[in-house]
Amino acid sequence: MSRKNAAPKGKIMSDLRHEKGAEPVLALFAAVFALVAAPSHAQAPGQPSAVIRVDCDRDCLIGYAERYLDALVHRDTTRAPFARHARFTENNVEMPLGEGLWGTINAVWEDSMAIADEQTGNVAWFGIVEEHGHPAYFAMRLKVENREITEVETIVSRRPDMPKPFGDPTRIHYDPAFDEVVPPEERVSRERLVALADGYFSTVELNDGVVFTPFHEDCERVENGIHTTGSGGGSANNAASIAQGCEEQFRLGIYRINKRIRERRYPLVDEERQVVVATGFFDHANTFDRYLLTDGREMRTVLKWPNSISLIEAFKVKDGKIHRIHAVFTYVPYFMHSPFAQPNVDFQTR
Amino acid sequence: MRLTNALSAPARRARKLGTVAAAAALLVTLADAPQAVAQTAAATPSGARARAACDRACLIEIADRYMAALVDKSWRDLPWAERVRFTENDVAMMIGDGVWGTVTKIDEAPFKLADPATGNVLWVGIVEEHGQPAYYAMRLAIVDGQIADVETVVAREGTPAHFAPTAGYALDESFSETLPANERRPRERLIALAEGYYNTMQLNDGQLLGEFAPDCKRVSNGVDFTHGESAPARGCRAQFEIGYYKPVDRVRARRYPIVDEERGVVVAFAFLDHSARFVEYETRDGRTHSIPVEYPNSHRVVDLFKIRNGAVERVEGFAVFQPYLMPSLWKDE
Repeated sequence: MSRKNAAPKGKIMSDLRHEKGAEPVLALFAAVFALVAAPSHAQAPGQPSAVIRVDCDRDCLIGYAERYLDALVHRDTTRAPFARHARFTENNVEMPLGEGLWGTINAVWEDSMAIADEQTGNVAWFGIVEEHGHPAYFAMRLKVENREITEVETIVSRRPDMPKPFGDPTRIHYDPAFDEVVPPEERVSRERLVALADGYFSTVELNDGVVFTPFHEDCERVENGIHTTGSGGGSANNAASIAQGCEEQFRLGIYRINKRIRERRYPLVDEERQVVVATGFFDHANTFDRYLLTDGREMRTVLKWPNSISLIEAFKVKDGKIHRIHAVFTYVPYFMHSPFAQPNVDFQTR
Repeated sequence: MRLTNALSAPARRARKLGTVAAAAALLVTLADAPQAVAQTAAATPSGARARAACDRACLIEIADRYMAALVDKSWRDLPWAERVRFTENDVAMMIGDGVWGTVTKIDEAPFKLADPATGNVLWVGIVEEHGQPAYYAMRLAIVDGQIADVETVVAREGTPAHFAPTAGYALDESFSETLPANERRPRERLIALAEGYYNTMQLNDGQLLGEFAPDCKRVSNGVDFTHGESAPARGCRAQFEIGYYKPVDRVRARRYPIVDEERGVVVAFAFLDHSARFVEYETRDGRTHSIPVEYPNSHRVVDLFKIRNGAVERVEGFAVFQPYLMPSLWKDE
């Protein structure tokens, strides 16, 4: 395992050569012209243009993630190209760039996983950071627009915290499946990929044995470094000690304490690799502190009070089924809202 | 403190609504759904309005009714304002969610303090959630006899924040004691003294920016910070003089919605921000200390200040471990 300490990696700058955008002056001119000449509302809702132009391809986007990490580990925000009004959240609190992890970080580990979506200009990165020498699981989403970083959404999962999966960071495994390009004839569409991930969340929500998404027979999940669906998971709190396999666990209703999976967003899809990155909250209302599995076994909740977990989660789809799940999550106050999410009154329920 | 559950609560009322009536009540509720988003101070009661509507006894009676309803899970019967704002640990949510789903017992001997001038009332004590005790502090704002604000702060065991066992816990008796007239101070001065305490605490470097009684004591979540075994110096003043609270970068979003001049008590709501940029620091007496949590975090605090003769005598309250820089949804009043 290698670590990226104060020295930046040599490839960071070279990644930016993948830029396809116009020169700055021309781009500015084009933008001004567009404001004057473009008919408004003649695009699909939410789209800046009727033709999606890829200004920054996958390698370019990942280059931005690496530049961000380089700036972060140097605690120097001037080392990355931020838009003037770039938004930054750490564990769903919006704060100025340079705050939070920026003040405590001392290393970014090399071993990591990146996912990019050229269409939406988002890039996600999963890895380990160190604060004062203590490793923490870290996941982030950057949005890149006009060759600047406009959004930074981060989850930092630290210790000490409340009881949660937290595997040995030195044994973290990033499944190469997330990087593998799937042959075109084996792919499903962007819309279906999102539906599969959404079905996963619907399965977790009020989990009572009903399964709303297809799971691959070899499905595996890693959460904060722990394999929670297979052998080798470890602790007694781990769901893998009750049942193994993604679908098997849901058929048993292990995750019943999830009252709702809220503010689900799917900002990244990589159709070539059949990967979706989602964000959201698992609300544990804990109105009950014991419940029955579908096989009649009784379970007791660990925490007796309302809490939520906030996550960034990547899904790899194979044969149109969920094959790999990689998540980083942390506890947040119950029902906490993400500044990046639109309030959804459907979830403002008791 | 003693705890009581739903069955023994004297305020519990027999359910009278039949199915039809209950359905009708639900429809009314949906039509006039309480707004849980704590947006602005616009709904804050004006002093005159609040005074006219509800005196001290009235405010405390509503707080008692609220707590009885909480343990009974019967929120529909409470006197709600047209627009209701509800937070639990700084998250806005709907009445009925959060603690409404978990509280199984409430303190039989809570501490209550009302401020008819602002229409606010405080209820602090121990609650149980499925048998697990937690420190609970709540502020209600009452407008025209109706509940407009519900600000709930619940400090639970098992987070990285400090937490002393709740058994036998009670807020110090001095908070109930009425001061002789010559030991009282006006509302504005009481708030300034609480401000001085927080100003001294943030970026604490030995400079005193407030007035402290010689043996001033600080207790948080039942932990005695100034006179306990691990206290680095005895008393608020001595601790501030050595700069013990240096890891507190700022005391943010301070509010003082409840003041009792007769008792010399100020109730403060604030956040302590810990950026954790250093993990060890030296106090002015030459000793080295470690910070308790080595990553950025904030504490939501509710502190009660007992102020006698123009000096802070005791600060006792509750602290909830929160994400760093967690925003407050409540504005100054």
